[in-house]
Amino acid sequence: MLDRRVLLASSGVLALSACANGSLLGSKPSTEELLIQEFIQRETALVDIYFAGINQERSFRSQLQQLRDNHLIHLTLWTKQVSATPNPSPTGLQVASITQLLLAEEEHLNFCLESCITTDDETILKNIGQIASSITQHIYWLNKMITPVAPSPNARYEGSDVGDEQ
Amino acid sequence: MSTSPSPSATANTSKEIIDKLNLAVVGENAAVWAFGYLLSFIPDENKNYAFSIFNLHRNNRDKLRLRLRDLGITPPRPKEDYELPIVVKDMVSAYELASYVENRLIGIYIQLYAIENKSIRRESLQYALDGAIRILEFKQTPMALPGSIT
Repeated sequence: MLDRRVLLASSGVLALSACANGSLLGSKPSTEELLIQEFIQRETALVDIYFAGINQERSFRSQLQQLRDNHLIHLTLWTKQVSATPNPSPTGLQVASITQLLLAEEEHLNFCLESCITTDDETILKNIGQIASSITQHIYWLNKMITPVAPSPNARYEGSDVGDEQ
Repeated sequence: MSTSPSPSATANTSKEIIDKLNLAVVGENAAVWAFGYLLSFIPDENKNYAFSIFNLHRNNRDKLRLRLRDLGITPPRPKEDYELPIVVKDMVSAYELASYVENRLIGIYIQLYAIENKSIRRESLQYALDGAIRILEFKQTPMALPGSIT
């Protein structure tokens, strides 16, 4: 099973492979490289906060695991870019509420929308487009989790005298 | 008012963008057809919502057609009939078809936005984001990479 330790260890391997590439030795990273690095950091932080969320929100465990796994797939989109320097920034959180996850997702969506006008790199833009679409779904789902379901107008409750007409 | 395109309009829009705009019109034509088809499988309580999606795709298609016409290009016409990728026999399969159509369109809009000018890029991306929400409303779960064709 995947845990934080595995995630951080794998990020370390990525960092080493990026150094081995040599693209950052003695040369200034391009806007695109910096953007990819930023995305890797943000996705790593999101995966981290989902681990904390899964710890706290036991009743939504399977749903949150699914969302966390989506972020892991997003991470692999960026780490395929060889010149990236993964620099994990774990949040250090042990627990996180749905609201915290929601805020983190909304912030990431805003970052995606801002980033899509900072580059013309087609591959990066396609990645951002798919990630933004996925995050939009995450936000919708998380909102559903914290929104109480409104009963239908003709709902009847067992043990209640509401609607008992005899 | 003249309806002919400005001489530079087509020249400034690359062939690649025109191809993607054509593809988006083809996709929206298919979506209009698909939603028209699956409406009969949707229960009455959800029919208004499904019908609003049908109208929304028709509006999107018309906007894209207008963009092509402004460039002096005749937009592709809808086919008379389409081959269904999913056999629709009940509400569940109708929702599957709706999600399939939306996912294909997300892929098309992402391809389009990625080559567009920065000033209009977000508009095309918004089509993809709206489609992603609709997929969830058709009882599906969030996807890691909406718009991917598997």
